[in-house]
Amino acid sequence: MTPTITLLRKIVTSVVIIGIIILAAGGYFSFISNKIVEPAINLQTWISTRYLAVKDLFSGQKDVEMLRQTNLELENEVTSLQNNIIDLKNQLAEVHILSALLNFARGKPGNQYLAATVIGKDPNPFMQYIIIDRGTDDGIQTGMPVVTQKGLVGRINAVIANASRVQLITDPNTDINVVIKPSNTEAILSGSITGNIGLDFIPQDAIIQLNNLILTSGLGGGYPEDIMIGQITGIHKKDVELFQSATVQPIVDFNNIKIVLVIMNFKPLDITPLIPPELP
Amino acid sequence: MAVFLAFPILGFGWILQLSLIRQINLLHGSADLILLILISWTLHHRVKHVWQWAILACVLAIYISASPFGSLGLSYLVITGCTVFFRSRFWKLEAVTILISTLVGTFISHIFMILGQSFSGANIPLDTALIQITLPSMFLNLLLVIPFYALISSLADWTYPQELGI
Repeated sequence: MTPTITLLRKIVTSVVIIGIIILAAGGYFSFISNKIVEPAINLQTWISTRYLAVKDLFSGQKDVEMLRQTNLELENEVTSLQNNIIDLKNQLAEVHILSALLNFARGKPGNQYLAATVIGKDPNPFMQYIIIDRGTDDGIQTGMPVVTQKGLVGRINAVIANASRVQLITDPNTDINVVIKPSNTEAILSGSITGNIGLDFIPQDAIIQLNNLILTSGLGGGYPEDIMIGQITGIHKKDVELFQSATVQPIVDFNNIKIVLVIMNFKPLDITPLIPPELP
Repeated sequence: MAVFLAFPILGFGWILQLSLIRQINLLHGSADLILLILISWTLHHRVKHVWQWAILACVLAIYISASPFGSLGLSYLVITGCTVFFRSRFWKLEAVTILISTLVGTFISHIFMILGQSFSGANIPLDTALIQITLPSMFLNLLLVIPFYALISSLADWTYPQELGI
């Protein structure tokens, strides 16, 4: 073969190849490539799908465990957040109570108050006592009055280092000198085993009405004067008796006391030396 | 060991009684956890240190409660004595003994408290006390005595393990 023919053959081959490439780049051979590539793609898809299915079969268990773990963590977080919500709601309620007590304390600047939380009740169901979490370490002494922003609660009956027992005004052993407003009638308030309170020794000629206010009178030196106690809800008057009596609705809800104020600068008086001895 | 166990058990019982049980009222009555603990402990057939527990409960009651003349504490001693008597009489009828001890124990405890209050000058109307306080307290005690007996029994079984006969 002569060099000329060889060269000519090479040139023609190159032109044909370049022509095919240009035509292919121009998309003129797409119908051919589709016909060839399509089955290959189908085969690849089929193989890939099966491979993924087998892979999921073996790794699915791991995914389920991971999802369970994540679910458990989220449930724990939800529980924790719900507990936080409950705590915050309790704190909010406490803030409201303390705010009301603070307003009450600011309204009577002459007294010194110490806030205390109610932590228990006396085990004897016939007695009305509560236990607070302040004691001698905080300066509390026996006889100090205990109030809330609404009115009188009771008096400190016993104290230890960091707790005190408060005798409520609803206790059957309680007797408090009170005054009925607006008539300024004096009476004695006493409690009962059921926690109800009533007035006794109201003079027969005293004019009292329903919804009259009951306040401490300060007589006897056991309590400061003018502390709100409650309102008259019923009057019992019989001409054959020496005195009238009345039932009282206390202004403080004794079933729901949570925080109280102890009046620190009030010292109860002991007037027993002034009481004359009984004559023989 | 059994005597030392009384301190944490009765101490925790008192804390629960003051802070939790006394807040749960039926009419004006409430359960008495210390009474139930003492009855359950006393009725267990292998328990030996019964009076030590009763004395500790009595001392704690006198210290904690405002009951006049220590009436609540003294009632625990009397109730323990009655329970020991019931245990010796009805030792084969365990369920009946538990219920009778609880009923009688509640009644004795309340009688002592009423007498203590009366001697200190308080006016206690007996019909109101019975209907509003004693009967509801009895009901609550009967409700709680069975689970408490199971609990204290387990404790007693652990404290006094059964001796194996060879």
